[in-house]
Amino acid sequence: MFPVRKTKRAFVKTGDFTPGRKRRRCVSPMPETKAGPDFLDSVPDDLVVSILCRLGSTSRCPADFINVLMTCKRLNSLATSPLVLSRLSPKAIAVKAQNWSESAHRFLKRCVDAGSLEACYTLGMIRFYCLQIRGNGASLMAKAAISSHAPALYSLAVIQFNGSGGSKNDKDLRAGVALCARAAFLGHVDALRELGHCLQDGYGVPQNVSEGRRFLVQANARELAAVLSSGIEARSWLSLSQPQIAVSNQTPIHGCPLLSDFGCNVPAPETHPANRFLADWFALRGGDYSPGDGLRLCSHAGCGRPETRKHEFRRCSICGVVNYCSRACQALDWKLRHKVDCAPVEQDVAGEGNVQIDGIGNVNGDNVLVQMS
Amino acid sequence: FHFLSRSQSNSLTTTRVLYKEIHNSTAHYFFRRISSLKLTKMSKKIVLKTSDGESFEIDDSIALQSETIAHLIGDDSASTSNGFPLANVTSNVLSTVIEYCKKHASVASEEELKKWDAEFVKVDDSTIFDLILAANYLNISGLLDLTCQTVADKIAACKDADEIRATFDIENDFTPEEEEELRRENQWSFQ
Repeated sequence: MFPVRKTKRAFVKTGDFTPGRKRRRCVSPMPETKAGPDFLDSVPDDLVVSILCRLGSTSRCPADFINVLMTCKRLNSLATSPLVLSRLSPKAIAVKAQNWSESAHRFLKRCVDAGSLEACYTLGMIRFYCLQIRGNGASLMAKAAISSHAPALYSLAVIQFNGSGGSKNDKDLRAGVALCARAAFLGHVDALRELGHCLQDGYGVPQNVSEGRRFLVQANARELAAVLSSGIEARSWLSLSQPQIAVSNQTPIHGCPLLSDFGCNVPAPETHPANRFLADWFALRGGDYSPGDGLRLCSHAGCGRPETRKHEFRRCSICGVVNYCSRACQALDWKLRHKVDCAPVEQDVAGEGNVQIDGIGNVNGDNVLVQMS
Repeated sequence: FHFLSRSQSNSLTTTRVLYKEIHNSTAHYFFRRISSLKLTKMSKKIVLKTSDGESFEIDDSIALQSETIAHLIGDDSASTSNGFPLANVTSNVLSTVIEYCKKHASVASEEELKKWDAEFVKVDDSTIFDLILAANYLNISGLLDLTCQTVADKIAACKDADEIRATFDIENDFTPEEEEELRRENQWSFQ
């Protein structure tokens, strides 16, 4: 059928190669008597690249893709071509924090050089927060953000809001809002929530409560839509219930709710591999970032961001125990977990210069996020 | 046509009626032309000749899914009576390809097509690769995407490089040192 192929591989048949070849764990229903077909040999390079692109963009873990690199030289060179590397899915480059090594770093750098936005974002996050190379990390995230990568835009917004990597005076609220707006228009749920809260509070942008509420509602709608479109199994989580009243909270709360859900028990959104890396990293290296150092993590487990200076994050005004990097994290954590844990505690007003807020919802102090039901 | 006499009028309603009439009349004119075209087109069959000498006769609506054939028809380089020669495609592969094109030319819901596609690719590896090459030669994008994705899924389903090599019968041309180097370099990806 393909005479060219037969002559090319003729010399192979006589040889004796690695044990792997003898172990015919063949999954295809091929008759054993057929002389080795060597399928991929007959396929031209551009088609193999096309196959590998699809493999990379649909991989669910790094191993799915990396295994190909170790099969043979031709596949190795084709799989490491920029075209394939630039299309890797976030899960394909989801390095686990415990496996972090120079070689993992090198691989991510290669993907960045190939033009992968996901790699730019992931490596940017890792360099900024974990390795503490602030400038380079931020510029990598900016590279992804310029090409409209929504998570990168949102991360940069959080950095601007908090003035991460610099002093308190490096906060740039307007830049943060601008970045947040761009991420929100791309449909990023956390950015939509953050923008909604900024508009409601007049934080970095002229106050516009109704517009803010509109964004919050849109964030909820998108979150719900994502859950519904992800499949039937997810639906079993969904149970419409009455909006819960915080049992532990005695003081009556007025004002707009955080609107983190419609009263539906929407399950937690899937965390981005970069955030999971951060969370795992700081969990593993607890010693370097112990409370003794004074630097805390965002209390939303799915976020994983650490503070870059003391008292950078703002805390819950009611219990003062948890702190968050952003309003979006606060809203999500409230819905998922903090709603039941939060209990008013006697606040020492002079403590850390944080101003105690009444439950009505005006942010007076710098470091307190108002907790609303 | 009446419109010649009405063209003097300034009233808005009459101009609107005027345009409508022109539109209708020209539309009717073209409709007659198109329907006559369609009738002649529907009975047109294409003959394809494979590399092993067999001839296949199919509707041109099915054949036109292949851009290569569409170009050949456009060029009109081969006489339609003899059939278009396809040097790189054998008869059994072509019959499978025609089966795919027939299904996708027919009216079916997207879910139905997806289910049918999933069944369609449950064939042995050699057929899949033949289909990839044929779809590439005939330039049928849907079939090419489907088959490439199938192979990608097969690769992803393998647990390690050895299994991939066994499945696709790939020769390991790394020296043991190179293999060890690769293993160290990619250690981070192993769970």
